[in-house]
Amino acid sequence: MTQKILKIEDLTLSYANQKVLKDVNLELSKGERVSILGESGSGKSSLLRCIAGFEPVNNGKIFIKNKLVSSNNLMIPTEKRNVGMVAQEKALFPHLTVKKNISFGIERKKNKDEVVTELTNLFKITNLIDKLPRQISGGEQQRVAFARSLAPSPNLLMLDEPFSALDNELKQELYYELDKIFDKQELSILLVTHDHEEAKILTSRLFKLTQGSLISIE
Amino acid sequence: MVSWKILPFVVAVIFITPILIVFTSLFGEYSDNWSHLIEFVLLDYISSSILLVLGVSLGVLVIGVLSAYLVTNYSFYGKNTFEWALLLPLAIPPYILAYTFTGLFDANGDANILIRYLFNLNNNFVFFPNVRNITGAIIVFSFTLYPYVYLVTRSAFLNQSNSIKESGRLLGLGQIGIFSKISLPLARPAFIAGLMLVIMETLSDFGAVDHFAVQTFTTGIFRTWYGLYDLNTAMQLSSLLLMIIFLFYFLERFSREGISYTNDNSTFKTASVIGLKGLKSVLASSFCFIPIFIGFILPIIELSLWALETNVDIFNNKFLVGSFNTITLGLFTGLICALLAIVINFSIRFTKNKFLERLNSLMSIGYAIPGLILAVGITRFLVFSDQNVFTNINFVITGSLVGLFLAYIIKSYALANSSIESGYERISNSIDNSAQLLGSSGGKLLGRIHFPLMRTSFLTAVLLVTSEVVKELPATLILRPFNFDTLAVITYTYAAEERMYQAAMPSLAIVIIGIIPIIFLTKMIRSSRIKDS
Repeated sequence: MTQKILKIEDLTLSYANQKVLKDVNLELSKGERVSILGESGSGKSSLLRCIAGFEPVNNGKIFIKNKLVSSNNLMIPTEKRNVGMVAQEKALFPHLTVKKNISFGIERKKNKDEVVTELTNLFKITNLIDKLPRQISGGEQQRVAFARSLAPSPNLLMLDEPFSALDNELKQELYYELDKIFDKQELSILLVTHDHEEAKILTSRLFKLTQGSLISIE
Repeated sequence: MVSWKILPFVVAVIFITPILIVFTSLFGEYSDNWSHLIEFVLLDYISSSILLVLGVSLGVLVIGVLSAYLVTNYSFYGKNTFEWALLLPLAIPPYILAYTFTGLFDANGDANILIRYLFNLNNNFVFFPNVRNITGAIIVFSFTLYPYVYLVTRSAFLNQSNSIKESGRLLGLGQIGIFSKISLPLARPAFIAGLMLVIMETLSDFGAVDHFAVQTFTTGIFRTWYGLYDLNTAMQLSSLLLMIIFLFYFLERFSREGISYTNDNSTFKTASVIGLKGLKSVLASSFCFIPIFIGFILPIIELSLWALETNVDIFNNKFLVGSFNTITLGLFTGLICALLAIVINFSIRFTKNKFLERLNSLMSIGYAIPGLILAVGITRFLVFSDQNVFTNINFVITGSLVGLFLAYIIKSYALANSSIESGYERISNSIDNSAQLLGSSGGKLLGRIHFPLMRTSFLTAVLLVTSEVVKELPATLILRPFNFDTLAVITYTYAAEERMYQAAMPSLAIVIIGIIPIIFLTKMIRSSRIKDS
């Protein structure tokens, strides 16, 4: 039986009496890749923020590896959930080099140098390790953001429209490389996007978030 | 076009001459007094200055950085008020807080009297330790100067995108980790820049260290000149201090260049504010309240009580004349600085000359020069002019208001310039192009288009300079004409004679005028909050 990485039960989220998410249910197994499609403002990013622990939920429950992390009276802090997220804005630490950005979440691990070397090889950024984020291109920054989020071996990697600021050619190149990396590392992926093609390339199950409700589409 | 280049050049020469004169003393003869200084007191000046700078740096960093972090990232009782109220101590010059401190904490100060009265103790009992020492000076400077750090650091914290902090949390950091590993390193260029300003202010101060009898460079320069009557040695000592201050000035400039890297994210997300409740909220409020209480409320209460309790006629002729002199000097200097700044900035814009731009930036260095050193350089400059330039017409400028105005203008030009520069940033170049196509160029463009558009910036510049001039003590003390008093000089004279009650009213007047720039800064803070929301 495959291990459940994420389980969401009847999740409801409201902002100022307006329901953003209504009774959302979702399950994700180890190594499984799921996409959530939806228009801007449909609540896709809010769902990821609830899973990450940035937003408290009004109703329902979120489990990560069978452990309850969010409910209406419980909120395990983000830093204790071991989830990763890559978003459009990359949010690299501007004062740290690429190497230090990648090793940021594993500073106390003995094998941190090996992990950094492996990830920089995987994402083809070994030549950038001593550079600051502002000294590298947008596409390279996105590779660093992926490497950094994978370094602590997260239970779940959430992707919040991470390719929307990149040009088409770069996107296709990254899709291909990431697909291989995700497979190799058996990563559980939850991708949020408005791009149907991107969802089909990178994930196997597709959902759509419409007016706060999650519907399976493929 | 050429005529527009002449004025900035002439002004720059006038600004820089007194500073160069001070430095030329290094290449002149060294008297016996210099040997005496080197042998007996220079080490004291250096060690107390280092101790003072280290203590004040620690104090302003703890108060300024932590209070800025709290009001930017957390919500607690009174947070919105603390945001601007933390700037209030800027209105209190260090020397006035020093006078208040001695009045409060000396053996027979009000605080000790209150303790004796409350606990029914005998008159010899002294509860508070002596503040007339370097520790007292460190406390005074920390609580009056921390707003320099608070202001720039708060702005840096506001410019940190929430996504960066969220990334830190996803990578395992808690609240303390976010502060120490992300927010603080990112804000480092900002608070270092603020700290450099504080260090320059501390090293430049004369009134507070003199009152606390702390041996620093400035008190040494004053004593060498007025005690040993040796202007040349005073200039040599000034040169040493000036070199140290220039080092901090360039460090500040260098740090400012780094500030931009905190704000290079095009997809900026405003930081989410964390609500504090119960004890945490009380602790945060107390942490923000204490510096406001010590740096502003306490001196205001004490000065008001002194002013009200005393039987002395507080609105006497001396006070009224001093107030008139102070405000006239302040407004006149403000007007000259604002006019110079607008004409020079126009010249830069009109001629698009990079050299003029650099010259203007160089002229702003005056704010870093201690008033005492400016006074030294200007006195030598005026004496030289009287002896060599004005001999034929018997025109004496040494000891006239000319020197005082010159010192004020050199020291305050940077304030006027920053206000005018930001005003010019809001005027689009296309307006200039349209005006020129319609026949308005040069003076007409300045008078008919720029000046009316820059009225608010102009007025701001005048008021900022006025409030700065009102507080200035050492240059005024030395360069004022005989029997010409300002509020700062009256305060200093009374305090030197331990007549604190009489010093209270002029001190309060200085503080009230000093609140003017804080009103502008508060407006800026409010507008930044509106932008955030």
